Amino acid sequence: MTESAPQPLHTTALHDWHVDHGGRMVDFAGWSLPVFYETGAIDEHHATRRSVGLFDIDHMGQITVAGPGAVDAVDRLVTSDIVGLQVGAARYGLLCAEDGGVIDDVIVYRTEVETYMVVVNAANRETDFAHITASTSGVDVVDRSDELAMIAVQGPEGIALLDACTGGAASATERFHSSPVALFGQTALFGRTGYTGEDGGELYISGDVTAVWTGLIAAGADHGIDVTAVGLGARDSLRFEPGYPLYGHELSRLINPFEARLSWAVDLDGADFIGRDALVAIKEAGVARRLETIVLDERGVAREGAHVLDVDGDELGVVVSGMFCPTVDLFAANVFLPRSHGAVDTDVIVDIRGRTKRAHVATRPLYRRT
Amino acid sequence: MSETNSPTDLRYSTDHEWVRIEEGADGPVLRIGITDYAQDALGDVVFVELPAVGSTITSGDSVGEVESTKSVSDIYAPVTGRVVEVNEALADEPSAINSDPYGGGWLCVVADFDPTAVEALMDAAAYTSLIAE
Repeated sequence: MTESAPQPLHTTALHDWHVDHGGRMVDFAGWSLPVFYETGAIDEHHATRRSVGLFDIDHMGQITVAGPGAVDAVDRLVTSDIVGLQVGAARYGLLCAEDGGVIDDVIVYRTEVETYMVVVNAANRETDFAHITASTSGVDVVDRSDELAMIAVQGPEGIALLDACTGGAASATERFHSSPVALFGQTALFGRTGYTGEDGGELYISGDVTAVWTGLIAAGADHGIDVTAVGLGARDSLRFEPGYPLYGHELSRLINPFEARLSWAVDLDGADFIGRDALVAIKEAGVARRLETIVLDERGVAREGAHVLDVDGDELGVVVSGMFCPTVDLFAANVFLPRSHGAVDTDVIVDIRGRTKRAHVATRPLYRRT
Repeated sequence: MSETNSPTDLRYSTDHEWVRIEEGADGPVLRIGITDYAQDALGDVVFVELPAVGSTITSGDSVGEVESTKSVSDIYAPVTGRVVEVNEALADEPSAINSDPYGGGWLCVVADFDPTAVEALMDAAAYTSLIAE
């Protein structure tokens, strides 16, 4: 069941911990990471929504852009408004190509007045670095991915856990803001961000990441907070339920932000950015297809590649992500559908390897934290 | 990989299915499931596509699918025969395959099979060696 790889996989500093704790290691974007641990992905999913999930996301990349002119340089790269981003704040945005296709989706932290940290997807790290380097001048662009590890601490008890380990620094940090913190003898940047639909945060650590990881688990035990290590399987279902895109699935060079329902991350009123002209034209013309979530009326898993048909059997689109969603207890899938078939409750058919299942367009997102 | 269990009273296929000969109302029948090793490798099972009752299955052919949080895997018929019963309870509780692969997690029961084909399957010792490789 282990995927073979032609080249040795990158390993994270926590690799031995994962293996020692029953992690089933798989190849994800060239990295050896656990898909789940002993108790399985569904338990890990529920544990994150109920208490705290810990995620090793060291595979994600961090590229800093610094120097006089960094504000304008990053604003020209990213679709969202960067000029208005205060020091210490963070914002979601997209790197687009001139044609409006998405190169990557990123979180931008303004860590200092003239320093930004762009957090990128593992699979796009080299592409993004080349794009950022080629699209800027007069600023220092540094790929810091190898020196920075990243842990996500997500779930309703995540802030309490981090507070206990940082002297209250986590709750003192607003959503989409960051603070330097010290925990377990290490210094880290804490960002109150994440990708599960829960409160919590992400830690950027340049020191001993294992000390922080094991320290958080021990602190959970000391404070009566259930802390669960979470693999890629639950990471996917946790991001899917609240409707967050995953690059390579809901986003790609061939998908524009309006199709992916990310107009809120595209600031067409501010300064120019790469892809802006194309996106203005796309917005004016309107998109022919848009990302929809369908829910299966019969049991079955409509995985990536499954064909979605109208009730007459004519093809409408192809599933980009699909899975069982534990919190909402539904089998669901994301697919780009023609606008004519995007209304909520529209009936469709999914062809799962020759077996057809009834489904309908659902209200997005499937899950929202209460 | 955690320790998995392969009971000695069963026969095993190279596709990680187990079979057990039982006494049916009209002669011997064969109960079929997937092994502890297989369920452990798959992870949480969320859905099972079972063959239709009454259908004839042919040894080596795909007769259904097990969907887990990780992947989809075919169920291959370990012998040729006729399906007389399927485990309807798996529709509501597919996790029985994880929690009780040799009991409540059974998949289907087959009649009209060739007993020598069952004898040709692996015993527990041979299967244990296979999964240790």
